[in-house]
Amino acid sequence: MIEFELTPFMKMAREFTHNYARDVMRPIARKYDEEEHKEPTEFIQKTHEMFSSLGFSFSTAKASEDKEEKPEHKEKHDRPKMEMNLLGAMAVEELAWGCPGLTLRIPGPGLGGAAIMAAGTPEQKKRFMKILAGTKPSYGAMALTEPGFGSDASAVATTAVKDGDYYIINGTKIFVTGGDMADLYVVWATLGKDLGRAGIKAFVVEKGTPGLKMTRLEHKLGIRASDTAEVVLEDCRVHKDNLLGGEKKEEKGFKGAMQTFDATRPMVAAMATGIARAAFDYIYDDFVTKGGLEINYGKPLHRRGYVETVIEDIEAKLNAARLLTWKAAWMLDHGLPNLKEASMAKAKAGTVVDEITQKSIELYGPEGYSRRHLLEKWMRDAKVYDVFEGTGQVQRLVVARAILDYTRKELK
Amino acid sequence: MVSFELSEEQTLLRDTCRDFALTIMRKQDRQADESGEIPADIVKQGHELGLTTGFLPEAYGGSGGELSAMNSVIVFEELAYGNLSMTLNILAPSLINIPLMLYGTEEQKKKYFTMNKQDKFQGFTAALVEPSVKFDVEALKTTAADEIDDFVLNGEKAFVALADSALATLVFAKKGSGEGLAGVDGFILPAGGFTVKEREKNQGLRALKQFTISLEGARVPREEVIKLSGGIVNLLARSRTASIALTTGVCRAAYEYALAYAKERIAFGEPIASRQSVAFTLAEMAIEIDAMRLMAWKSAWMLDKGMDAYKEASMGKRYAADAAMFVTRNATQILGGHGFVREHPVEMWYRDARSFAVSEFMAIV
Repeated sequence: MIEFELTPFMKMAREFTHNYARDVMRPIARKYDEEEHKEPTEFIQKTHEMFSSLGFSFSTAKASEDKEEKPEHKEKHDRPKMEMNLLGAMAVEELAWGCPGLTLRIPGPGLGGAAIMAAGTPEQKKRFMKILAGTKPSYGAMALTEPGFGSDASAVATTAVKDGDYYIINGTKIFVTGGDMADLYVVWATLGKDLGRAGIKAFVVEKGTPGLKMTRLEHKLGIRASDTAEVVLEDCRVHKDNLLGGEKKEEKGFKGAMQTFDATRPMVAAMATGIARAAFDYIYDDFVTKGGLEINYGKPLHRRGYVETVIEDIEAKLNAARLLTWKAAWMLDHGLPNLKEASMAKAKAGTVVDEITQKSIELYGPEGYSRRHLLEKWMRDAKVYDVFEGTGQVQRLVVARAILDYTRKELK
Repeated sequence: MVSFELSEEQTLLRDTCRDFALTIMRKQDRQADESGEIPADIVKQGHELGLTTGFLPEAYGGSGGELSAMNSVIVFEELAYGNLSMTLNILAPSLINIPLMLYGTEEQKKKYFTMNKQDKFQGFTAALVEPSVKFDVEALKTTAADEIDDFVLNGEKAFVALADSALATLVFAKKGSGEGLAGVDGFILPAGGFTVKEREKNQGLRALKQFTISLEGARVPREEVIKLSGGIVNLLARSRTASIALTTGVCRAAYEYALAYAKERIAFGEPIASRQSVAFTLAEMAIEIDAMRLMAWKSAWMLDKGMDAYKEASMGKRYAADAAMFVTRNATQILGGHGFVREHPVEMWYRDARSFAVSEFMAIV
């Protein structure tokens, strides 16, 4: 049966994260935007304690196949096991509404954790998730992008050369979200260019491994509260037990990286929706709640003004993005292949968040351009949601191949 | 509990209607559009699907099923995927059946529900829209004057489907005493109870017979009045929820056609679908169709829960109507010159889709 009724737990989680976003994140959102590269230490600690005490982690989604294997925080609450992705989508929408940069700064399994859950063996999941769900704030980073490629993940140039029980990894990784604070990095490397995609493997490299160095922090347009790092691996020796999926499981390599996105793209879409809603709420509050503008839903156009129709259109776009996101997350929760839907959600949310945040500034007039308000920040923050985890173009490519039933060769 | 899964019954219903759309409606859609006539057997077979009577009480010849907006939006998408004109013709009996289910007296229900089973059932219709560029449901120009025994109706209505043949017509009019939407009630007129003027000539929906009608002092006895007491808002919410689903269906028809064409049409040695400019457009179309379907579901879910769905439905209808222009325009574009000629149906879907932003189909869900 088609249903849109949230479970009491979802409602509670939504309300809780919303309040946290409003009371804890919003007040410091501008500060950490202006002071890029400054660690929000207090926020990290506080958020870690709060979420640990609640017993769940919002910063990552779990791959659907791993329902039983959540080493962290078992059964502390009556959380519905089946709906972790949907619940996560709802929660991160709220957190991103508070501040998208700080949301990405929230400790937890992160993208690295998501990759481990998607591609790791049961033993690896247990071992690494223990690190990521420890008593102190921790973070799992994904190190995939390199100076030479972004979306084309098959172009990995970082090498892994077998040496006894170890692999020796060499290469440079960029745009590593949380790369400054990670406790472990999931590093994608090739065993040999001639092996193609089958040769691409993911290795878990723990913080402090000799040869692993954080070399630079990016200066960005937005999400400045979240640091994005360059990480260099120089003759970095990693034990074979850290090869995700194990040495024999050929298929888990590149595919594993890609499967991570089935879980993370709906989350990114949900965050984009959260930013768009922040802008929507901001203008709605001033124009409608306080300003007395009436939104004449469903009334003929000759009776309506420009601003009210724009506000209605913004809300409709938000709804579209959210519904697509929920569906993609729900499918993953129920073990349904969601590659296409995850990309649809992200493509839509990534587009509308740019449109909505841009339009909100326009509606707000000169005042909207001022850093006195967060609108201009949200517009800057928004841009990356149509870029990271696969650009809008890549999402459309994924969707197009799926609907046309085309291979990579048939649709380049 | 959030779920996007159709029940078994809904899946069956959907498949039945999809089959009807493809094997019956699509076979004669172009001919119907060109001739302005919907074959009677299609309407008859459509009625036999039971979509407009399934929820009527058994005592009055119905099946006693639930009035489910969700079931409705699921099947309306399929029917509109077949053909929009035919769909609106087939669903027309609901234009009276549903308002009566919600607001009718027992006598009215008995009288009109049983008519659905008549041998030569010509359907019902409803008249809301008026011939004015400033048409506004809140400021209807059609008035109903209370003359003790009867109400006397005056005014003109436009785009009244099947006005020449329907057994009964539900006219929405403003009572002298009422203000805005609260003053709108429904008045049931029998066939011949008003003057049927010329047939509408529209850009699309050409197979569906629509007329302007003139009421000119038509008298309606009290027992033929459906007292809405503001219920017009709910009827509009249902109308607009239906509109989202119908939009989804027409868009899907155009999208699927363009998709198949793009895979077959060779240009510069390969299918045009293998070019990103075409493939990405198709991807965008697919995204919009999914989004509008979800909006229809959400709105229908709210209706079934007894929630006020007016805002959700109105907003969704507006969104879908806009997106429909994007989808059907691009479907036509993908076919290039072939999209512009009437040998292919995409131009028909493009014309039909333009109706969504300007039509008020009334309560058929």
